[in-house]
Amino acid sequence: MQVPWNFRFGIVILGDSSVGKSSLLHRYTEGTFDESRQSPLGIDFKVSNMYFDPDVVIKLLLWDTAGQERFRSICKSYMRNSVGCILMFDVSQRQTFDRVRSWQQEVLDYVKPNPMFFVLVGHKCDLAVGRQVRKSEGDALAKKLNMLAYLEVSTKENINVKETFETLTRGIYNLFQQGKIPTRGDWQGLTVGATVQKESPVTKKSACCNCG
Amino acid sequence: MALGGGVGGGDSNMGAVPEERRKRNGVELRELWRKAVLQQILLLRMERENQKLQASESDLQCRRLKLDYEEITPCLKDVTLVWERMLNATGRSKVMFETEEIHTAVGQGVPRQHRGEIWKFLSEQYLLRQEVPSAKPPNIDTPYKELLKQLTSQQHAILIDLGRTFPTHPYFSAQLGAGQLSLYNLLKAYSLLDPEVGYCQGLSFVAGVLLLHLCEEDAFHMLRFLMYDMGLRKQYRPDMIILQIQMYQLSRLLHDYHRELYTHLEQYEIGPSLYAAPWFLTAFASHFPLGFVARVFDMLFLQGSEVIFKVALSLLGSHKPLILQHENLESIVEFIKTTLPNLGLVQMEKTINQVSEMDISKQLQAYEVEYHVFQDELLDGPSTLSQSQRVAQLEKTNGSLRQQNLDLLEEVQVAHAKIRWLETRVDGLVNREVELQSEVKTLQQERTELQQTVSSLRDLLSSLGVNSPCPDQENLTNTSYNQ
Repeated sequence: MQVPWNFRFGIVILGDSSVGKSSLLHRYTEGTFDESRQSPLGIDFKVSNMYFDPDVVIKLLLWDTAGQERFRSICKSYMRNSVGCILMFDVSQRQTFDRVRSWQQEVLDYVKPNPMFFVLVGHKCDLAVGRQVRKSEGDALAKKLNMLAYLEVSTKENINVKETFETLTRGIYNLFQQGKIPTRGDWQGLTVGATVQKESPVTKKSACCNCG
Repeated sequence: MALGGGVGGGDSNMGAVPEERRKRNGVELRELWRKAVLQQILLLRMERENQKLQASESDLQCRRLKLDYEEITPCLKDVTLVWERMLNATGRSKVMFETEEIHTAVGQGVPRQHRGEIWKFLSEQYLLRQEVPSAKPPNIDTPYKELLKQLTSQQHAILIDLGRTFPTHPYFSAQLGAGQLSLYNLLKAYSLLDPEVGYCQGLSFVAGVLLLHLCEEDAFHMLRFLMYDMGLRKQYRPDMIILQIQMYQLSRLLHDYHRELYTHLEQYEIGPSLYAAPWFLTAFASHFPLGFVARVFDMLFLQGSEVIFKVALSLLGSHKPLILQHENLESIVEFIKTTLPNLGLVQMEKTINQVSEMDISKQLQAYEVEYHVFQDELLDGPSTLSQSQRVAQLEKTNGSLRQQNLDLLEEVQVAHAKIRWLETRVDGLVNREVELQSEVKTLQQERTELQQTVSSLRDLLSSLGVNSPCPDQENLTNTSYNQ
């Protein structure tokens, strides 16, 4: 049942309460839409493997969090062991967009000195009426905050769901290949697995590879 | 009337017969009018009755809907009778029943249709036994209806959780239906009663379970009881430190009671926060079948918040072999989160029965202290953290110490209150002793006086030539003969 993996990425999904974090994760891993998903009440997770490039398997540890502020203290240690973040807001709730910047700052402060890479997701883009944030605003903010991308997503209509996870994973993978993400023994955000078959351009310093 | 008048005015030349008929008509009309009025009154009355009937019927339907879950300890008839006797006792809220009797009855089962009332009864009994009242919010006396009139800052947080609380239960599933409205009212009123906690995710499930068994206002009082008197409220405070301590305590208890399982979970870095946070925050209501949750609540009303630990331990322990079969992070957590809640009826009953036999309060206390000690050591140890992180951590510790301080202060206050109570009790006892002593003295005096009287009477009798102080008939007759 266990698939061997070359890399393991920790990815955390953040954003205000009820912007649709759990629905997005559920759609991605289970392929179905469930409107009344209950809050994770702390932390929840799913595991999913992503295959790209010949012989590369990336195991994704996907952490789903409770949006209510007081749960932040419980979610923090999972943020620290992640390399990527899907930061979400609801395009029909302006205030959830306004809080994106402080969300990012808080995460960066917390995971320091480890890196964290973001994609920004404007959720519920299927809503024809009641939209309060324009696409151009999302694009601009993502660029300004140095994020990998901005995507407009609908879990309900299954728009850009797969793309969100792929964009983030691909982006992190490329940065890693360019040597821009150092691995540390005690950091589990990005781990190089034992079954790496290709020669990686980066010197292997992760826990499982330094035996040779 | 207008019609009669018009006829009378226009047709005066029509002769006697019509005249007579007209008269009869007038009488008849009055009669008819009266009849109509009476019938209208009757109709209105019937309609009212009908509405009442319909209301009570939908009430019944509603009740049936709310209590439509599988009972895990079916309550036998004679146990139901025991409950009914206790519930219907005169002046129930002032009568202390035998602890043994209550515990036995809860163990034997709680009939669904009386469950809400039994929870009220258990809370009354708890409060009667409580020597020192627990800390209460300053606005404790604000009536529920008054709280409902106010506005809460938690409105948004509460509203978004309405649709996510028991979303598949028929009573709560209708958007802004009766169930969701009651839930909103209850949570809003609580957030106003307790501004520090306000609203915290998870609370909606606790409130929901109460609403399935009690009317809104009673549910509010029971929520207040569970939060303040049974100690549930601390885990919902904004810093959530108590919840983290609880996670640590559970992990230590697993280490004590189910070492093999503990090691297995540790191997895959699975701490309780990955699966047990909802157990604590909803008292198992978010993931487990209602019949089981209702039993957990029975125990909660009987024993307080420690019950959650006991149920958790018992559940994990009884599933140990199955959990050990899973050998990676995701399948273990998946099993605990989705398979474990669907345990069979027998297993559920066993779990609950185990709970009533456990005592873990000493360990819980020890592990709470241990947690704080570890936190301190973590801070004192050599650190690779940057200055700003260290400052942030120190601030956090400071905050938690402050909170701890407040908690301790609260405990001190409670202890002081207890001392005061004991002191007044001692005073009372001393006074009573003095009273009793003086009573003894007077009684002794009375006794010596009486003894004196008796002996003087004896003397008198003997001087009269009677030997026995209690002469019988024969003696008397003898004496009279002698005379």
